[in-house]
Amino acid sequence: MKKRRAVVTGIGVVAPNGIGTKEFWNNTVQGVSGVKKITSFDTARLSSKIAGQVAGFEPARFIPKDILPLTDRFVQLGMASAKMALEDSRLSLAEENRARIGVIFGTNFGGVFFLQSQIKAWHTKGVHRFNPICVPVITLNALSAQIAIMHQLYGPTFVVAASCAAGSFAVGESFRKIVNGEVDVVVSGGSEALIAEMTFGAHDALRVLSKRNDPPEEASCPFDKRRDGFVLGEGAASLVIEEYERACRRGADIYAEIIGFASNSGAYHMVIPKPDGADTIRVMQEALRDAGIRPKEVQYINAHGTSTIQNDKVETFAIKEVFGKRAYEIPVSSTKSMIGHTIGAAGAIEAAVCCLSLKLGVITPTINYRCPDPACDLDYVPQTSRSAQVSVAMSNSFGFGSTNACLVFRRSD
Amino acid sequence: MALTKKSVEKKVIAILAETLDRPAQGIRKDAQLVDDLGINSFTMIRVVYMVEEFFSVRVEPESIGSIRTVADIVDHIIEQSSRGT
Repeated sequence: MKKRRAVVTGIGVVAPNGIGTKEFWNNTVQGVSGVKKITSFDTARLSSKIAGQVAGFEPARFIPKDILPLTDRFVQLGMASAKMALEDSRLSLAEENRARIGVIFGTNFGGVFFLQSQIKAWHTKGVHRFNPICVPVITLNALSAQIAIMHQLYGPTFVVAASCAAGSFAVGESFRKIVNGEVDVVVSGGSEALIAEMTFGAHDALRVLSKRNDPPEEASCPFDKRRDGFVLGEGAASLVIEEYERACRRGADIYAEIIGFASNSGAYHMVIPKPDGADTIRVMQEALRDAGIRPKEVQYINAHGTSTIQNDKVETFAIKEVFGKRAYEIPVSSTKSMIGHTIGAAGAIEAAVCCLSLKLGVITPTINYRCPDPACDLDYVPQTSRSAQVSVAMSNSFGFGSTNACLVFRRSD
Repeated sequence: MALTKKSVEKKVIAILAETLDRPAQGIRKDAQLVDDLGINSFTMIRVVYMVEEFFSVRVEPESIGSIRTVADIVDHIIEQSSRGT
């Protein structure tokens, strides 16, 4: 029997530098940052005062009126991206066997805006005054469940909480389910919305955020010597991932094929990357093996590239271990330089970037890269996009808790 | 401020209209919550919560079962608020 293959046939992105795939892609190609000063709450006593924020997002444009009151921002961003991806795929859901369509997303914190309002109500009014909609609004799987409910999709529906790699895990697990024959289509991706006092303050307390507050758009500088932490971001991306033969039969426009996925753990620490990079080296090697390709075939790497001192150093080292001398010839760029770190959405947004790069022949830049660090000595595509017909692209995602994922994509001819 | 039946009724209908996402004009005071308005158990606890928050009354879980119409909600609020004063 012929091996089943999985391709991406629809993309929807809601990111700090663009709502909708077209706006996001145009701004990403042009190196436009979506990082701004936080104005929604008082940051005076915080070290970090900036974030990648989705401005001007109108959830009512994307979500039915009866569902909207039961959604927090992470669900709203995710539902908007899913709707756009499904429209982009031109799938005719009414004619589909929707029991063969799954919904798999990455996210980590849930409905934090509603939760923090409920914590205030608890403290001012008492423990008996929680709003009865609290559980369905804050729970992580509201993301996948509300997308399934809105579009009446009856396949496997769940979220993956794999920290900063959650979006990549979701895409990877969706790829597996299609290749294994469990489903034919998955609406997959990631979403996260953490620019609320509770979750922003918690990240600030962890001392992982950049303090380079002014100007905000220059704070996230992956691989640059001046980097001092990541910029927290919010956003979502959805990919419609589909079995290749049926995508061809219905004449779908294919962005790219997903050819490899691996995930593993460094089992090292909740927030510190393993210094020798053994886990990240292994996850890239296993993804290449899964894809059935040799390292020399990879022509672009969308890095995890968080702009933290440790990640960017270890990731650079790991890439050199996997690709040897050729590492210096591979363009490596970080989408987080423009939108910050969107945590559970990051891997999905970066998967979307890889697919668009393969389809449209453009490698997007690492903006704000100006001061070289001897520990980071690869080609990071500084400032400006490049035209390049890339055949194979790799996307790295390395999360808190030593949780790693790596995806490999191939251009569809 | 004393609650009038009319003002309570108007607010209860507004809460139902908002929760059910339907026009207030179509909600009569003698409407059956389940049969006429299609309220399910989840919507009912949302309505109860909003009523409790707005009128500062308590609808005990054991009383919810005896509330069958819009008018029952109104009567319950007036009864509870008169007890509290």
